[in-house]
Amino acid sequence: MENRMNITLAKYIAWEGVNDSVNATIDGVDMSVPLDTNNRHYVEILKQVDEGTITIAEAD
Amino acid sequence: MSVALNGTNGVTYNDGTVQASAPVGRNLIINGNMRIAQRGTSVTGLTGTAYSTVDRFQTVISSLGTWTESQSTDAPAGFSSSLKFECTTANASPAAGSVILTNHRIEGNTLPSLAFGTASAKSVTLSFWVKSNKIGTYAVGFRNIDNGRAIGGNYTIDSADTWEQKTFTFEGDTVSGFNIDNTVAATVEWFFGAGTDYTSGTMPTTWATTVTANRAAGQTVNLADSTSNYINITGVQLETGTTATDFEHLQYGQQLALCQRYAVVLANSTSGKSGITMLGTRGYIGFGLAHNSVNPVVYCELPIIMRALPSQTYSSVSHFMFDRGWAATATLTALSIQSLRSSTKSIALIGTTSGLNNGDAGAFDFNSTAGWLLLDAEL
Repeated sequence: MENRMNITLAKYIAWEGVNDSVNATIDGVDMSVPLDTNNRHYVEILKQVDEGTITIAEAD
Repeated sequence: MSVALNGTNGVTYNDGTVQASAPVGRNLIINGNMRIAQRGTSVTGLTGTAYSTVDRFQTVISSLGTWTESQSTDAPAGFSSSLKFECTTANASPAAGSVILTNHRIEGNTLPSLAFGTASAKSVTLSFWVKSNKIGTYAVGFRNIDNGRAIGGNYTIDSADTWEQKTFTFEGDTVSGFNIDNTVAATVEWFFGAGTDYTSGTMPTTWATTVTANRAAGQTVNLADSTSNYINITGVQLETGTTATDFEHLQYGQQLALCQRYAVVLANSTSGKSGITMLGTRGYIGFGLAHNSVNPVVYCELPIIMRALPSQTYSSVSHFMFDRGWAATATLTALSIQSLRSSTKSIALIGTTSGLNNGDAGAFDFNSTAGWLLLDAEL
């Protein structure tokens, strides 16, 4: 799958008890992803969650 | 001197040059002369999909060799840069699903003037310069991502190690338009090698439903078959009309600003990156406040309104600090974007440190000349 991102980590980061971003490792790159449905990384995370191939870990 | 006026293609002078009907802003490709490379000028060991060097051009590799991608100074007359791919690990026998291509993804907001999906749909002309040691037939495509439509063509590199300009005119698509919004609507893609999943069909020379087997049909070159192989591309222009006009050279600042809608890089002096550049160890990023004893929230004003809230990556968390001035500087142990306070004009970052007083004000600075921060709102 040429454009499928390889997501090996996805974990919510919360601010004052509310999920605010996702720390993710995508194609080997660690990144902080905002909860914006126009952000390509967040879109892919949600897609792969819907497909059941990944889950987003709860925030600490 | 004589001129010929043509309502479709602009003004044709008696030396054959054409001044386009829309002389400014006519190129739908951003950074087509490969001049901006905020992320760096060379990346080795590429085997997957990434934006790596020149802005706005994404490389897609799947099980077809290992590559070095660079912003090269090898360019045809009138250009200073090109995007270069060099094969460093060969694969002479691609599997069916193997592929290497580069693409340029286009935002829907860029495309309403094409009038696709209406009876007035306009033809578009794609032109670019290409150079390779590997002569043979290559495939190029223009796809409507919103509605799964595609058109394309094949071109031949006739002479090894020689810059050649290639031109395609694609008819307008009266059937399907684009969603005029801030998401990806279309892509132009150049194949350098592909397996039968991409090549076993027929190249669509009129608009048709996208079929993977058609996308690289006709491609005979596998640029991955030798570590001697390379390809350079530059001067990419996509414009309305049926004539390829001279490349639209923008001022550097204009071109950088267009790229920054999709990626902003803050680059300290030895980071190897560019964009917003700095000289000192304490390069300034933003200003903020401590919201408790461990979390400063800092605000970074963006140079241009970005396409979407960006993802954030950085060099190393140790390369950043929260500088209160009156007290010891605080180095960070974590850094993330804060959706709550971010916008496409200003992003908020949450740092993690210790020993702060609630309400402490401070500057968010680099703590190393090697530091960089990438904000990615690519398509």
